[in-house]
Amino acid sequence: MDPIHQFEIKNLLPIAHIGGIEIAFTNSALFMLIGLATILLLMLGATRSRALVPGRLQTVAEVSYEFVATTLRSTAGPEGMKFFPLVFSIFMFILVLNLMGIIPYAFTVTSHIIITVAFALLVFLTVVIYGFWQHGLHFLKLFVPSGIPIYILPLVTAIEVLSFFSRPVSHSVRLFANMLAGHITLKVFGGFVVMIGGFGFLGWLGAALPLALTTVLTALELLVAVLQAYVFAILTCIYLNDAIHPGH
Amino acid sequence: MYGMLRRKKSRRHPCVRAPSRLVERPIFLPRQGGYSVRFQGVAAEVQFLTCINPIQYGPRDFGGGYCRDLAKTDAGVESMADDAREKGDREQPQDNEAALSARFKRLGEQLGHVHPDRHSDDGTSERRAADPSAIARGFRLSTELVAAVVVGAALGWLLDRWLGISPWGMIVFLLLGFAAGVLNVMRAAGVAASGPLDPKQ
Repeated sequence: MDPIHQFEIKNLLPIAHIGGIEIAFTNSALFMLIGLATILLLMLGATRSRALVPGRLQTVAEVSYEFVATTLRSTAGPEGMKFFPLVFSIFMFILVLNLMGIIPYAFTVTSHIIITVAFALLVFLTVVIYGFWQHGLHFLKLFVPSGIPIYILPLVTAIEVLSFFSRPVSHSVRLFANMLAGHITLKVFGGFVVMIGGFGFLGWLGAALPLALTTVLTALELLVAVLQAYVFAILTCIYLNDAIHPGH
Repeated sequence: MYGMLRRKKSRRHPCVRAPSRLVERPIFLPRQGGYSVRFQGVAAEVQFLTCINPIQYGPRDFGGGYCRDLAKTDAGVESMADDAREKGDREQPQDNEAALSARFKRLGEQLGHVHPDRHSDDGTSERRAADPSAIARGFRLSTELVAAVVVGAALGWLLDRWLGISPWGMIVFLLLGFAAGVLNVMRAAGVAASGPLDPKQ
Protein backbone atom coordinates (compact mmCIF):
# COMPACT_ATOMS: atom_id res chain seq x y z
CA MET A 1 0.00 0.00 0.00
CA ASP A 2 2.97 2.27 0.36
CA PRO A 3 3.06 4.29 -2.87
CA ILE A 4 6.83 4.80 -2.60
CA HIS A 5 7.57 1.12 -2.16
CA GLN A 6 7.64 0.55 -5.92
CA PHE A 7 10.74 2.74 -6.28
CA GLU A 8 12.81 0.80 -3.78
CA ILE A 9 16.19 -0.38 -5.00
CA LYS A 10 16.89 -3.99 -4.16
CA ASN A 11 20.25 -5.65 -4.33
CA LEU A 12 19.87 -8.76 -6.38
CA LEU A 13 23.49 -9.77 -6.67
CA PRO A 14 26.30 -8.19 -4.67
CA ILE A 15 29.35 -7.74 -6.84
CA ALA A 16 32.02 -5.90 -4.89
CA HIS A 17 32.82 -3.45 -2.11
CA ILE A 18 35.07 -0.65 -3.26
CA GLY A 19 36.12 1.83 -0.60
CA GLY A 20 33.11 1.12 1.57
CA ILE A 21 30.68 1.58 -1.33
CA GLU A 22 28.71 -1.47 -2.20
CA ILE A 23 28.47 -2.24 -5.86
CA ALA A 24 25.67 -4.62 -6.63
CA PHE A 25 23.45 -5.79 -9.42
CA THR A 26 20.14 -4.16 -8.52
CA ASN A 27 16.62 -4.43 -9.84
CA SER A 28 17.25 -1.12 -11.60
CA ALA A 29 20.20 -2.61 -13.45
CA LEU A 30 18.14 -5.68 -14.25
CA PHE A 31 15.40 -3.62 -15.86
CA MET A 32 17.94 -1.56 -17.76
CA LEU A 33 19.35 -4.79 -19.17
CA ILE A 34 15.84 -5.98 -20.04
CA GLY A 35 15.17 -2.68 -21.79
CA LEU A 36 18.43 -2.93 -23.68
CA ALA A 37 17.65 -6.49 -24.72
CA THR A 38 14.18 -5.40 -25.87
CA ILE A 39 15.62 -2.66 -28.05
CA LEU A 40 18.29 -4.94 -29.44
CA LEU A 41 15.80 -7.67 -30.27
CA LEU A 42 13.38 -5.18 -31.79
CA MET A 43 15.96 -3.48 -33.95
CA LEU A 44 17.86 -6.60 -34.98
CA GLY A 45 14.65 -8.47 -35.69
CA ALA A 46 13.23 -5.54 -37.60
CA THR A 47 16.25 -5.04 -39.82
CA ARG A 48 16.95 -8.70 -40.41
CA SER A 49 14.71 -9.11 -43.44
CA ARG A 50 15.52 -5.72 -45.01
CA ALA A 51 12.46 -5.98 -47.21
CA LEU A 52 11.48 -3.18 -49.55
CA VAL A 53 7.95 -3.72 -48.35
CA PRO A 54 8.32 -3.53 -44.57
CA GLY A 55 6.60 -5.94 -42.27
CA ARG A 56 5.15 -4.82 -38.95
CA LEU A 57 8.42 -4.95 -37.05
CA GLN A 58 10.34 -3.26 -39.80
CA THR A 59 7.72 -0.51 -39.95
CA VAL A 60 8.25 0.14 -36.26
CA ALA A 61 11.97 0.48 -36.80
CA GLU A 62 11.55 2.66 -39.88
CA VAL A 63 9.01 4.93 -38.21
CA SER A 64 11.20 5.44 -35.15
CA TYR A 65 14.22 6.12 -37.34
CA GLU A 66 12.34 8.63 -39.49
CA PHE A 67 10.87 10.28 -36.42
CA VAL A 68 14.18 10.87 -34.66
CA ALA A 69 15.95 11.80 -37.89
CA THR A 70 13.31 14.38 -38.80
CA THR A 71 13.37 15.87 -35.32
CA LEU A 72 17.15 16.09 -35.32
CA ARG A 73 17.36 17.48 -38.83
CA SER A 74 14.75 20.16 -38.26
CA THR A 75 16.23 21.21 -34.91
CA ALA A 76 19.99 21.00 -35.35
CA GLY A 77 20.25 21.13 -39.12
CA PRO A 78 21.75 18.51 -41.41
CA GLU A 79 25.08 18.70 -39.54
CA GLY A 80 23.26 17.41 -36.49
CA MET A 81 22.90 14.00 -38.09
CA LYS A 82 26.37 13.08 -36.83
CA PHE A 83 24.76 12.96 -33.39
CA PHE A 84 21.99 10.70 -34.61
CA PRO A 85 23.31 7.56 -32.85
CA LEU A 86 23.39 9.42 -29.52
CA VAL A 87 19.93 10.92 -29.85
CA PHE A 88 18.37 7.73 -31.17
CA SER A 89 19.92 5.62 -28.38
CA ILE A 90 18.74 8.04 -25.72
CA PHE A 91 15.26 8.28 -27.19
CA MET A 92 14.78 4.53 -27.58
CA PHE A 93 16.25 3.70 -24.18
CA ILE A 94 14.10 6.21 -22.31
CA LEU A 95 11.03 5.30 -24.32
CA VAL A 96 11.38 1.59 -23.63
CA LEU A 97 12.21 2.11 -19.94
CA ASN A 98 9.23 4.46 -19.52
CA LEU A 99 6.86 2.06 -21.24
CA MET A 100 8.15 -0.92 -19.28
CA GLY A 101 7.48 0.98 -16.09
CA ILE A 102 3.74 0.94 -16.75
CA ILE A 103 3.64 -2.85 -16.68
CA PRO A 104 2.52 -3.93 -13.20
CA TYR A 105 5.34 -5.14 -10.93
CA ALA A 106 7.91 -3.72 -13.30
CA PHE A 107 10.47 -1.28 -12.02
CA THR A 108 10.51 2.22 -13.49
CA VAL A 109 14.18 2.98 -14.02
CA THR A 110 13.59 6.56 -15.16
CA SER A 111 11.81 7.45 -11.93
CA HIS A 112 15.21 7.68 -10.20
CA ILE A 113 16.86 11.04 -10.56
CA ILE A 114 20.35 9.56 -10.65
CA ILE A 115 19.50 7.87 -13.95
CA THR A 116 18.02 10.96 -15.57
CA VAL A 117 20.88 13.11 -14.27
CA ALA A 118 23.30 10.70 -15.89
CA PHE A 119 21.47 11.07 -19.20
CA ALA A 120 21.29 14.86 -18.90
CA LEU A 121 24.97 15.14 -17.94
CA LEU A 122 25.90 12.93 -20.86
CA VAL A 123 24.15 15.37 -23.19
CA PHE A 124 25.52 18.42 -21.35
CA LEU A 125 29.11 17.19 -21.44
CA THR A 126 28.76 16.20 -25.08
CA VAL A 127 27.62 19.75 -25.85
CA VAL A 128 30.44 21.36 -23.86
CA ILE A 129 33.22 19.08 -25.09
CA TYR A 130 32.12 19.09 -28.72
CA GLY A 131 31.58 22.85 -28.60
CA PHE A 132 35.07 23.58 -27.29
CA TRP A 133 36.66 20.97 -29.52
CA GLN A 134 34.99 22.28 -32.65
CA HIS A 135 34.92 26.02 -32.01
CA GLY A 136 37.57 26.58 -29.34
CA LEU A 137 37.01 29.72 -27.33
CA HIS A 138 34.44 30.90 -29.85
CA PHE A 139 32.10 28.53 -28.06
CA LEU A 140 32.03 31.08 -25.23
CA LYS A 141 30.30 33.52 -27.57
CA LEU A 142 27.25 31.53 -26.61
CA PHE A 143 27.17 33.51 -23.38
CA VAL A 144 27.80 36.95 -24.84
CA PRO A 145 24.83 38.29 -26.74
CA SER A 146 25.61 40.81 -29.42
CA GLY A 147 24.21 44.30 -29.37
CA ILE A 148 24.18 44.69 -25.59
CA PRO A 149 25.52 47.91 -23.98
CA ILE A 150 28.87 47.31 -22.29
CA TYR A 151 27.74 48.39 -18.80
CA ILE A 152 25.04 45.73 -18.67
CA LEU A 153 27.04 43.02 -20.45
CA PRO A 154 28.55 41.38 -17.30
CA LEU A 155 25.12 40.99 -15.78
CA VAL A 156 23.59 39.53 -18.95
CA THR A 157 26.55 37.19 -19.38
CA ALA A 158 26.19 35.97 -15.79
CA ILE A 159 22.51 35.31 -16.38
CA GLU A 160 23.27 33.46 -19.60
CA VAL A 161 25.88 31.31 -17.87
CA LEU A 162 23.44 30.44 -15.10
CA SER A 163 20.78 29.71 -17.69
CA PHE A 164 23.22 27.37 -19.42
CA PHE A 165 24.09 25.55 -16.22
CA SER A 166 20.45 25.18 -15.28
CA ARG A 167 19.84 23.12 -18.41
CA PRO A 168 20.94 19.70 -17.19
CA VAL A 169 18.92 20.28 -14.02
CA SER A 170 15.65 21.04 -15.78
CA HIS A 171 16.43 18.44 -18.42
CA SER A 172 16.76 15.66 -15.85
CA VAL A 173 14.19 16.83 -13.32
CA ARG A 174 11.45 17.00 -15.93
CA LEU A 175 11.72 13.34 -16.91
CA PHE A 176 12.27 12.12 -13.37
CA ALA A 177 9.43 14.12 -11.81
CA ASN A 178 6.95 13.18 -14.52
CA MET A 179 7.59 9.50 -14.10
CA LEU A 180 7.71 9.63 -10.30
CA ALA A 181 4.53 11.69 -9.94
CA GLY A 182 2.60 9.62 -12.44
CA HIS A 183 3.48 6.32 -10.82
CA ILE A 184 2.75 7.57 -7.32
CA THR A 185 -0.66 8.84 -8.47
CA LEU A 186 -1.41 5.50 -10.05
CA LYS A 187 -0.42 3.67 -6.88
CA VAL A 188 -2.46 5.97 -4.64
CA PHE A 189 -5.62 5.54 -6.69
CA GLY A 190 -4.99 1.80 -6.88
CA GLY A 191 -4.72 1.83 -3.08
CA PHE A 192 -8.07 3.62 -2.84
CA VAL A 193 -9.71 0.81 -4.78
CA VAL A 194 -8.51 -1.77 -2.28
CA MET A 195 -9.27 0.39 0.78
CA ILE A 196 -12.80 1.39 -0.22
CA GLY A 197 -13.46 -2.09 -1.55
CA GLY A 198 -12.86 -3.47 1.94
CA PHE A 199 -16.15 -1.97 3.20
CA GLY A 200 -18.36 -4.66 1.71
CA PHE A 201 -20.91 -4.30 -1.07
CA LEU A 202 -21.32 -0.52 -0.82
CA GLY A 203 -17.57 -0.32 -0.74
CA TRP A 204 -17.30 -2.14 -4.03
CA LEU A 205 -19.75 0.35 -5.56
CA GLY A 206 -17.68 3.22 -4.22
CA ALA A 207 -14.47 1.64 -5.45
CA ALA A 208 -15.70 1.83 -9.01
CA LEU A 209 -14.81 5.50 -9.18
CA PRO A 210 -11.11 5.23 -8.29
CA LEU A 211 -10.94 2.11 -10.45
CA ALA A 212 -12.19 4.08 -13.44
CA LEU A 213 -9.75 6.85 -12.60
CA THR A 214 -6.89 4.35 -12.42
CA THR A 215 -7.80 3.13 -15.88
CA VAL A 216 -7.81 6.64 -17.26
CA LEU A 217 -4.57 7.45 -15.46
CA THR A 218 -2.91 4.39 -16.96
CA ALA A 219 -3.75 5.69 -20.41
CA LEU A 220 -2.43 9.09 -19.40
CA GLU A 221 0.76 7.46 -18.13
CA LEU A 222 1.18 5.83 -21.50
CA LEU A 223 0.96 9.25 -23.10
CA VAL A 224 3.37 10.75 -20.58
CA ALA A 225 5.86 7.93 -21.10
CA VAL A 226 6.04 8.54 -24.85
CA LEU A 227 5.84 12.31 -24.51
CA GLN A 228 8.65 12.58 -22.00
CA ALA A 229 10.93 10.41 -24.10
CA TYR A 230 10.15 12.69 -27.03
CA VAL A 231 10.67 15.88 -25.01
CA PHE A 232 13.98 14.57 -23.69
CA ALA A 233 15.09 13.77 -27.23
CA ILE A 234 14.03 17.09 -28.72
CA LEU A 235 15.69 19.05 -25.92
CA THR A 236 18.82 17.02 -26.55
CA CYS A 237 18.61 18.13 -30.17
CA ILE A 238 18.11 21.78 -29.21
CA TYR A 239 21.11 21.68 -26.88
CA LEU A 240 23.26 19.89 -29.44
CA ASN A 241 22.38 22.63 -31.88
CA ASP A 242 24.21 25.09 -29.62
CA ALA A 243 27.33 22.98 -29.79
CA ILE A 244 27.13 22.87 -33.57
CA HIS A 245 26.24 26.53 -34.18
CA PRO A 246 27.33 28.58 -31.15
CA GLY A 247 27.88 31.79 -33.09
CA HIS A 248 24.24 32.38 -33.89
CA MET B 1 8.35 4.19 -45.74
CA TYR B 2 8.85 3.94 -49.47
CA GLY B 3 7.95 0.32 -49.39
CA MET B 4 4.58 1.01 -47.83
CA LEU B 5 3.66 3.42 -50.56
CA ARG B 6 4.68 0.96 -53.17
CA ARG B 7 2.59 -1.76 -51.62
CA LYS B 8 -0.48 0.45 -51.68
CA LYS B 9 0.04 1.01 -55.36
CA SER B 10 0.28 -2.63 -56.23
CA ARG B 11 -2.85 -3.46 -54.27
CA ARG B 12 -4.94 -1.23 -56.46
CA HIS B 13 -4.77 -3.67 -59.37
CA PRO B 14 -4.20 -6.95 -57.67
CA CYS B 15 -4.13 -9.40 -60.53
CA VAL B 16 -1.99 -7.63 -63.03
CA ARG B 17 0.91 -9.85 -63.96
CA ALA B 18 2.00 -7.97 -67.03
CA PRO B 19 5.57 -6.90 -67.86
CA SER B 20 7.03 -4.10 -65.83
CA ARG B 21 5.93 -1.35 -68.18
CA LEU B 22 2.32 -2.22 -67.61
CA VAL B 23 2.33 -2.16 -63.84
CA GLU B 24 1.66 1.53 -63.71
CA ARG B 25 -2.01 1.57 -64.72
CA PRO B 26 -4.94 -0.83 -64.73
CA ILE B 27 -4.99 -2.47 -68.09
CA PHE B 28 -8.38 -4.08 -67.57
CA LEU B 29 -9.99 -0.64 -67.54
CA PRO B 30 -9.15 0.86 -70.90
CA ARG B 31 -9.71 4.55 -71.34
CA GLN B 32 -11.48 4.58 -74.66
CA GLY B 33 -13.83 2.03 -76.12
CA GLY B 34 -15.99 -0.60 -74.48
CA TYR B 35 -14.98 -3.80 -72.82
CA SER B 36 -16.33 -6.02 -75.51
CA VAL B 37 -14.11 -4.50 -78.15
CA ARG B 38 -11.03 -4.30 -76.01
CA PHE B 39 -11.13 -7.77 -74.65
CA GLN B 40 -11.71 -9.59 -77.85
CA GLY B 41 -8.07 -10.46 -78.20
CA VAL B 42 -7.87 -12.02 -74.78
CA ALA B 43 -8.72 -15.68 -74.85
CA ALA B 44 -9.27 -16.30 -71.17
CA GLU B 45 -11.02 -13.15 -70.09
CA VAL B 46 -12.88 -14.81 -67.25
CA GLN B 47 -9.69 -15.95 -65.59
CA PHE B 48 -8.18 -12.63 -66.37
CA LEU B 49 -10.72 -10.68 -64.39
CA THR B 50 -11.20 -13.20 -61.61
CA CYS B 51 -7.94 -15.02 -61.61
CA ILE B 52 -7.29 -17.94 -59.30
CA ASN B 53 -4.69 -16.22 -57.23
CA PRO B 54 -5.81 -12.64 -57.41
CA ILE B 55 -4.30 -11.11 -54.32
CA GLN B 56 -0.84 -9.82 -54.76
CA TYR B 57 0.45 -8.37 -51.53
CA GLY B 58 3.84 -7.28 -52.64
CA PRO B 59 5.50 -5.88 -55.68
CA ARG B 60 5.96 -8.59 -58.28
CA ASP B 61 9.74 -8.41 -58.17
CA PHE B 62 9.87 -9.18 -54.48
CA GLY B 63 7.91 -12.38 -54.34
CA GLY B 64 4.34 -11.21 -54.60
CA GLY B 65 1.54 -13.41 -55.81
CA TYR B 66 1.58 -15.06 -59.19
CA CYS B 67 -1.27 -15.17 -61.64
CA ARG B 68 -0.70 -17.85 -64.23
CA ASP B 69 -3.61 -17.24 -66.55
CA LEU B 70 -2.58 -13.74 -67.29
CA ALA B 71 0.99 -14.73 -67.95
CA LYS B 72 -0.25 -16.96 -70.73
CA THR B 73 -2.06 -14.11 -72.40
CA ASP B 74 0.79 -11.75 -71.88
CA ALA B 75 1.36 -10.77 -75.48
CA GLY B 76 -2.27 -10.16 -76.17
CA VAL B 77 -2.68 -7.94 -73.18
CA GLU B 78 0.34 -5.93 -74.09
CA SER B 79 -0.76 -5.22 -77.62
CA MET B 80 -4.25 -4.49 -76.48
CA ALA B 81 -3.19 -2.10 -73.79
CA ASP B 82 -0.61 -0.30 -75.85
CA ASP B 83 -2.86 2.47 -77.10
CA ALA B 84 -4.35 3.04 -73.70
CA ARG B 85 -0.96 3.86 -72.33
CA GLU B 86 -0.16 7.35 -71.24
CA LYS B 87 2.66 9.19 -72.85
CA GLY B 88 4.58 9.61 -69.62
CA ASP B 89 4.57 5.91 -68.96
CA ARG B 90 5.97 5.11 -72.33
CA GLU B 91 9.02 7.20 -71.60
CA GLN B 92 9.74 5.26 -68.44
CA PRO B 93 12.79 3.11 -68.73
CA GLN B 94 12.28 -0.60 -68.81
CA ASP B 95 15.11 -1.25 -66.47
CA ASN B 96 13.63 -2.00 -63.07
CA GLU B 97 16.43 -0.44 -61.06
CA ALA B 98 16.32 2.80 -63.00
CA ALA B 99 12.55 3.00 -62.76
CA LEU B 100 12.70 2.37 -59.04
CA SER B 101 15.31 5.03 -58.41
CA ALA B 102 13.36 7.46 -60.57
CA ARG B 103 10.30 6.81 -58.46
CA PHE B 104 12.28 7.25 -55.26
CA LYS B 105 13.50 10.55 -56.58
CA ARG B 106 10.02 11.71 -57.49
CA LEU B 107 8.72 10.59 -54.11
CA GLY B 108 11.54 12.43 -52.37
CA GLU B 109 10.63 15.62 -54.22
CA GLN B 110 7.00 15.19 -53.26
CA LEU B 111 7.93 14.56 -49.65
CA GLY B 112 10.03 17.69 -49.76
CA HIS B 113 6.89 19.60 -50.71
CA VAL B 114 4.78 17.97 -48.04
CA HIS B 115 7.35 18.39 -45.27
CA PRO B 116 8.96 21.71 -45.97
CA ASP B 117 10.16 21.79 -42.36
CA ARG B 118 13.03 19.55 -43.36
CA HIS B 119 14.70 22.60 -44.78
CA SER B 120 12.97 25.32 -42.83
CA ASP B 121 14.74 27.85 -40.67
CA ASP B 122 11.70 28.73 -38.63
CA GLY B 123 12.65 28.63 -34.99
CA THR B 124 9.19 28.82 -33.48
CA SER B 125 7.88 25.66 -35.08
CA GLU B 126 10.16 23.33 -33.19
CA ARG B 127 9.55 25.26 -30.02
CA ARG B 128 5.93 24.41 -30.42
CA ALA B 129 6.80 20.87 -31.36
CA ALA B 130 8.71 20.52 -28.10
CA ASP B 131 5.53 21.15 -26.12
CA PRO B 132 2.87 19.03 -27.70
CA SER B 133 0.37 19.19 -24.86
CA ALA B 134 -0.67 21.68 -22.28
CA ILE B 135 0.51 19.52 -19.36
CA ALA B 136 3.93 19.05 -20.87
CA ARG B 137 4.11 22.75 -21.64
CA GLY B 138 3.18 23.82 -18.14
CA PHE B 139 5.56 21.32 -16.64
CA ARG B 140 8.35 22.41 -18.90
CA LEU B 141 7.93 26.08 -17.98
CA SER B 142 7.84 25.38 -14.25
CA THR B 143 10.93 23.17 -14.32
CA GLU B 144 12.80 25.78 -16.32
CA LEU B 145 12.14 28.38 -13.62
CA VAL B 146 12.79 26.11 -10.66
CA ALA B 147 15.96 24.64 -12.15
CA ALA B 148 17.56 28.03 -12.71
CA VAL B 149 16.71 29.22 -9.20
CA VAL B 150 18.07 26.00 -7.70
CA VAL B 151 21.27 26.23 -9.70
CA GLY B 152 21.69 29.85 -8.67
CA ALA B 153 21.16 29.02 -5.02
CA ALA B 154 23.59 26.09 -5.17
CA LEU B 155 26.28 28.19 -6.84
CA GLY B 156 25.79 30.97 -4.31
CA TRP B 157 26.01 28.55 -1.41
CA LEU B 158 29.20 26.98 -2.77
CA LEU B 159 30.80 30.40 -3.33
CA ASP B 160 29.85 31.39 0.22
CA ARG B 161 31.55 28.32 1.59
CA TRP B 162 34.72 28.61 -0.52
CA LEU B 163 35.23 32.35 -0.28
CA GLY B 164 33.72 32.96 3.14
CA ILE B 165 31.54 35.86 2.01
CA SER B 166 28.66 34.36 3.80
CA PRO B 167 25.38 35.94 2.81
CA TRP B 168 26.44 37.79 -0.33
CA GLY B 169 27.10 34.93 -2.72
CA MET B 170 23.74 33.42 -1.90
CA ILE B 171 21.91 36.74 -2.29
CA VAL B 172 23.51 37.67 -5.59
CA PHE B 173 23.32 34.25 -7.18
CA LEU B 174 19.78 33.59 -6.03
CA LEU B 175 18.72 36.80 -7.75
CA LEU B 176 20.75 35.95 -10.83
CA GLY B 177 19.25 32.48 -10.83
CA PHE B 178 15.77 33.93 -10.66
CA ALA B 179 16.56 36.22 -13.58
CA ALA B 180 17.95 33.29 -15.54
CA GLY B 181 14.84 31.28 -14.69
CA VAL B 182 12.54 33.98 -15.97
CA LEU B 183 14.67 34.23 -19.09
CA ASN B 184 14.47 30.46 -19.56
CA VAL B 185 10.70 30.48 -19.15
CA MET B 186 10.24 33.33 -21.58
CA ARG B 187 12.45 31.57 -24.10
CA ALA B 188 10.72 28.25 -23.67
CA ALA B 189 7.36 29.95 -24.13
CA GLY B 190 8.67 31.77 -27.17
CA VAL B 191 7.87 35.16 -25.63
CA ALA B 192 11.38 36.55 -25.31
CA ALA B 193 13.40 37.65 -28.26
CA SER B 194 15.74 34.81 -29.04
CA GLY B 195 19.10 35.15 -27.39
CA PRO B 196 22.39 33.40 -27.99
CA LEU B 197 21.14 30.29 -26.27
CA ASP B 198 18.23 30.02 -28.63
CA PRO B 199 18.68 27.37 -31.30
CA LYS B 200 17.71 29.54 -34.25
CA GLN B 201 17.76 33.25 -34.66
